[in-house]
Amino acid sequence: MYEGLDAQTFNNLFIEQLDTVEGIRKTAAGGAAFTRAKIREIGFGRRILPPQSVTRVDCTRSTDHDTLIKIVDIEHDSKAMAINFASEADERYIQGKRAAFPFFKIESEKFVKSEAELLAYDYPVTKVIEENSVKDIQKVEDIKFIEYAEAAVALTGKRLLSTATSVDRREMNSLFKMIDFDQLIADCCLMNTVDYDDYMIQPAHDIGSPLASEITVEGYKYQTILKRKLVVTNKHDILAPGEIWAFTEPAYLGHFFILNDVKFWIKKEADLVIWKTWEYIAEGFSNIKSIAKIELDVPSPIPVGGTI
Amino acid sequence: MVTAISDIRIVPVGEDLTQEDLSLSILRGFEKMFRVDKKLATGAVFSKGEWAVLNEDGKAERPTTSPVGQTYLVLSGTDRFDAYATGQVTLIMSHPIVVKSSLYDRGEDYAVGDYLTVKDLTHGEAFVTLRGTDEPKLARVLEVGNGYLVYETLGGVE
Repeated sequence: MYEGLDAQTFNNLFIEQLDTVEGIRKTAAGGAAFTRAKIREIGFGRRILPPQSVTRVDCTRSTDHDTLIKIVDIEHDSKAMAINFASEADERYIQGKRAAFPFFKIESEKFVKSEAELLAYDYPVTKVIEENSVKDIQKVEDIKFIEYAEAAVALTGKRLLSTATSVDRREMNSLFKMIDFDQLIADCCLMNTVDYDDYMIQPAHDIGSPLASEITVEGYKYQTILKRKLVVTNKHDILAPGEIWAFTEPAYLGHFFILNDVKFWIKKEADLVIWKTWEYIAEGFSNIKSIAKIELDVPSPIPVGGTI
Repeated sequence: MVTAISDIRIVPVGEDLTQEDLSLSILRGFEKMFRVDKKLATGAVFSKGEWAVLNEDGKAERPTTSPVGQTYLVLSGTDRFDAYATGQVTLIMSHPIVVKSSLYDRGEDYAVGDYLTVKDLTHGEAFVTLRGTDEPKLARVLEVGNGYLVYETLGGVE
């Protein structure tokens, strides 16, 4: 509804609209629609473990407090055996395991701005929403994603320390094998932009002259590495250079639930415009064998004295 | 307070949930065995695969350092909702059945044919260990596996 307007006109209309109840409702709805689309693009956790929308009826309450969990089944084991005609196989009383995904809230800061100062902006209000609340929410999702992945590899031992100073095919191969060994298939790898840069300087005698020539001119433009989906992030504060992860397909990995939907709230109080965004999510890994990590001994990309 | 859900199964998950639970796997005899609920003695708790002793009141209590014949495998532990509701534990009160279990005294070396008994090994244990002289024979080893024993139950004969 705002397309074709310059930023200042947009901001002006935005403020005027907030003077009516119907306008506030429409603005909140518009903000929510925009937020949902943008978060799906940004969060790397969502690219590896796509979110599933759930409602209250899908969840379980606690007897002790007012929070929700969603309980997810784990496939039980089974086997067959070779036996004589007159014999019979072992019995198995099925006893499945389950994992509980607790919901928690991620909320942006509550943004406050006077309507007059808002008019001084040369970019539309939706940009503010994008660059603040949306970014903060997707970042927290990814922080928890990596936190839970770290907990998984701490248990399984699928954490390989390498003396290599940059990533190459051999390092990636070692990473994927830790998952493939467990009758799973590594489907996706996650690295940051620094390691991605390193991956593009592999010598021709290693990756072949045609690919090396192509990368030199156009960069590595493929969506996969060794047949695995490639996810690259610039969030070095969450994923340090040299830390590369591998994951299976979501069906073997875990879940990312969103309760109801992302919520956007906005109101105008006198001359102040106030808004915030939040969501309720539950994310995690119920099959901890589906994750592996390699840590390379990469030098700091920034010379001594710099920070990343 | 009732713990409704195991902490290690709440994300972040603290155990490998794909790992087979070998605390009690009944390989033979499930269909015909007697599954009997017994009232719990005060404070007694059991997990699946442990053994319970029937005390003089006919209630299930944990084994003492002196093994007795009336000792039975626990089919479902007291951590379940139904056990909370009934105050009872479900025992297997017939034999022989063939059991594969990771719950046994790891401090002993076992061989096929060894007789097993159940007693408190001074730390509150309630699982099979090698039988000493004159102690009740509660089970006999059929297979010594890597991290598990397969045994047949014997019903506590001397």
